[in-house]
Amino acid sequence: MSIDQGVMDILARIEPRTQARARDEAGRKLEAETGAERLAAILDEVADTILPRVLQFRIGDTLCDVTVNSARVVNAGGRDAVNSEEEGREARLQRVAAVLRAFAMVDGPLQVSARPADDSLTADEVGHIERELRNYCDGQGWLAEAPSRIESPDLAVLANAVLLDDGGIEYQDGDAALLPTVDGLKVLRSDLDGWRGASEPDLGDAYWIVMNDADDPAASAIGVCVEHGRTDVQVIAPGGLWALAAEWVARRGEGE
Amino acid sequence: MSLKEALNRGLNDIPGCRTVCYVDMPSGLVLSSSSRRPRPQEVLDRIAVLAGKLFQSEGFAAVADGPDKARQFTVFGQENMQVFVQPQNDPEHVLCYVCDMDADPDLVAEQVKSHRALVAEVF
Repeated sequence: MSIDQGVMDILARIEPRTQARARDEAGRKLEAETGAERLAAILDEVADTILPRVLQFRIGDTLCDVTVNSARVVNAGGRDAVNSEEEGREARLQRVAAVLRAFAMVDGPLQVSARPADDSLTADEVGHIERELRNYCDGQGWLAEAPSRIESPDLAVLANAVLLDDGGIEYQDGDAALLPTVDGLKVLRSDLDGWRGASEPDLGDAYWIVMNDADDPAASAIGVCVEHGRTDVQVIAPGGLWALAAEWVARRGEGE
Repeated sequence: MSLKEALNRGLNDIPGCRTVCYVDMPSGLVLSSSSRRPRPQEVLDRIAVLAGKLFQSEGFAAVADGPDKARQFTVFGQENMQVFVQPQNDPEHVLCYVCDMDADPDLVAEQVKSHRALVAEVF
């Protein structure tokens, strides 16, 4: 008795599927180098997941469980994307996207494993379809490469001036034309002197204030660093805050 | 969503965030806050004072890139990093985020931007 060719075809597909399932449960590496690439890779995995699954993404020791059904995220990082009547759909979408984005920004190789989702997952739990999430992330610019960070603190400062105790200004480094006007710096100096004499705010002897555009936080910024009795005003390059902040934290750690 | 819920959201979503405050500048009061652990009132009062100093500073206004731009301040101190920003279309109030010193400032700023928009939807 011969076996129907259709049955043979099904049998032939079972073995690769079994292998693929075993591979998914064991975990596999996703090709992604940057935060934007990791976020895109996570969304790709969501798009490819039809049956109810918990996708566990891992970057180093950081884990993020994403429950997916029919290419829809119904839970991300332990936070329900459904069944919260108090929270609007748009707010839920933003929250889920923010969770995925925050996880994707962790630096390191991205891995994913999959296991069947809990039986309690129902058809009512519509969640957010991958395309919806992708469009939101795209609109936020999260899928585009972020401006590269400047690694060296020296390169992160485009211009620097010291506010002198006598009210004068001494230009130190960089392009002085980028600095605020002398009149502006004198008003700033006066303000800071007033703070120093007041009991509040209590900033201590060393603090660093960075002022930037709230709508474009990645753009250049003005920094005011008060340390060791000296006040520096800096023009910080786009992408330069991270290196300067790391240097600031390191100095605090050294007890300076 | 209530203001309190929105602040709770910020506490959860902003990396390394310990406390979120909503400050009324004219009165110098913290109207609402969310924190990982209870904060003494005097600590909240200091945050409110600093928020007022920064946004009412003629000096920082004088060195700002443009008068119409929404300013955001990040203050690095001895023990923490504090971010101050005004909610959209709300010049009398300030959102303050107290974060761990070693939190990634770029990621914090990015999440603060989203949270600022979320708080604007509350009112």
